[in-house]
Amino acid sequence: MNKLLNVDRRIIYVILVIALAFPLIRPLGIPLLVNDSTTAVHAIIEGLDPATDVVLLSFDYGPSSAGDIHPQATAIVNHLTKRGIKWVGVAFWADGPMMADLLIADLEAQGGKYGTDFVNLGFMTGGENAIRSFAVDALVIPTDIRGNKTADLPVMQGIKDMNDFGFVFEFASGTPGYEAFIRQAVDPMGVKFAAGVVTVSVTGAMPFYNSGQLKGLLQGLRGAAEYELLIGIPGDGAAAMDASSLGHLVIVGFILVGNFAYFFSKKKK
Amino acid sequence: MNISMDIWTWVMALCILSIMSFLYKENPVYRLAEHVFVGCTAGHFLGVAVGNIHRFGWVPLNTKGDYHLIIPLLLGVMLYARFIKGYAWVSRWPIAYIVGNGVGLSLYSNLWTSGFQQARATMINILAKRPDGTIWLGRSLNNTIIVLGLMAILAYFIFSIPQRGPVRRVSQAGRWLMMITFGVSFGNVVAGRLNLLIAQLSNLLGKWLGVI
Repeated sequence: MNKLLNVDRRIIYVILVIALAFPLIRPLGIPLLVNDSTTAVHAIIEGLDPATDVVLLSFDYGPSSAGDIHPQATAIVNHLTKRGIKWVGVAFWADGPMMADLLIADLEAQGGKYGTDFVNLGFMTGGENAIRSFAVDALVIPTDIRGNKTADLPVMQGIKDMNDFGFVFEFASGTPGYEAFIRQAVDPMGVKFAAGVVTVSVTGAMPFYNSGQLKGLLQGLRGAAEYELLIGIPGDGAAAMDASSLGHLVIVGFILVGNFAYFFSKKKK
Repeated sequence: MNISMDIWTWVMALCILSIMSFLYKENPVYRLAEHVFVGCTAGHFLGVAVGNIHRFGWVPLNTKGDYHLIIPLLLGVMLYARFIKGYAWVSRWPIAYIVGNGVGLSLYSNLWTSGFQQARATMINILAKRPDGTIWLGRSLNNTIIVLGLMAILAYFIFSIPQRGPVRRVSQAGRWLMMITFGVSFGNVVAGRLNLLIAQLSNLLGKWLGVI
């Protein structure tokens, strides 16, 4: 029992890495159920009119949280592209434009037209104040990330404030995040808004989904996998779900073994 | 196996492995990667900050004649007065402006969004019905947990009456519910960290080694 209580932590790391890597190489096909918060986002985008609606995507994450959020962004952008819906990218996190550019590079390679089908307005500094400023005047950002005048971009025609977007979606990984959007745009202006959050923030975001302030919610990497399932385009999210499930099983196993060893050794004493 | 020939993929892989080597023990390779990371981050943010001043301040001021932008630019310069002995007090003005602006913008909205709107969301009918009029069992159970759970947790924080008898039992139930919530939050933290590790393993096994 003492051996079990004093296992070298590096052995645990190795077992965990093997448990995570194995399903990545050989997928197990563990079934995945779709949450209604994910279905709600899908239904909103399905209900948009490609001829009139433009979607605002706020890329408020960076490489540190990309593992959780970037598959969500890929899935949402794939859905918008599939439906022919135009989108505008903005960021209130400094790394956001870089993450949006990764998606834009793929879309341009597929023949998408920058400025007409999508645009990257870049980073606007100021946190929650900047969100408010952009909510009341979408042309407050003078130029996009490539130096084009925002007001002259075809995709921005007819857009004056955040309410002119058919739907607003934020990829949120911290502050400013979905709460700032709710405070500055959703509650005071009635903007139709949903968010994709990192797994760590799911518990905090659920009350806002239950209250209707968030119209939909993508819950971390799992949310991305569920969305990929709904749109029928497999991506990084679905591929990682087996690994995630097996990783959790291993951790639960460690907790059980640790507790068993602890109580058994206590009983012996 | 189809190992990448792209130099940046190799840089990525070596950086990931260097940082992960800390799990074995502290070592010079980890230190090097750590310093490179801190340096890159500082450089990146400095570039972004200068770019922002140029894009949102300098360019509109020069090309569109937005002379009111002199005020925030001046306030920004005033922040650095704290480094000049005898004039440090000047930096208090922009700080006062930033704090005042932030508080003014979030005070009411915070109360409305996280206070009133959230409280309103708990004032629900326990018995939920589907659009066709039949009782929705799952949602009804959810609503019951929301309403009873909220009351139990609020009872835990009532300190003006003695925690005895039925009040104690309700407040104890509230404590259990809070513990469950904290457990869910911690579970999400573990899941989130696993997801980040999976993303890096995907990069190593997929983009670098080409085995997935």
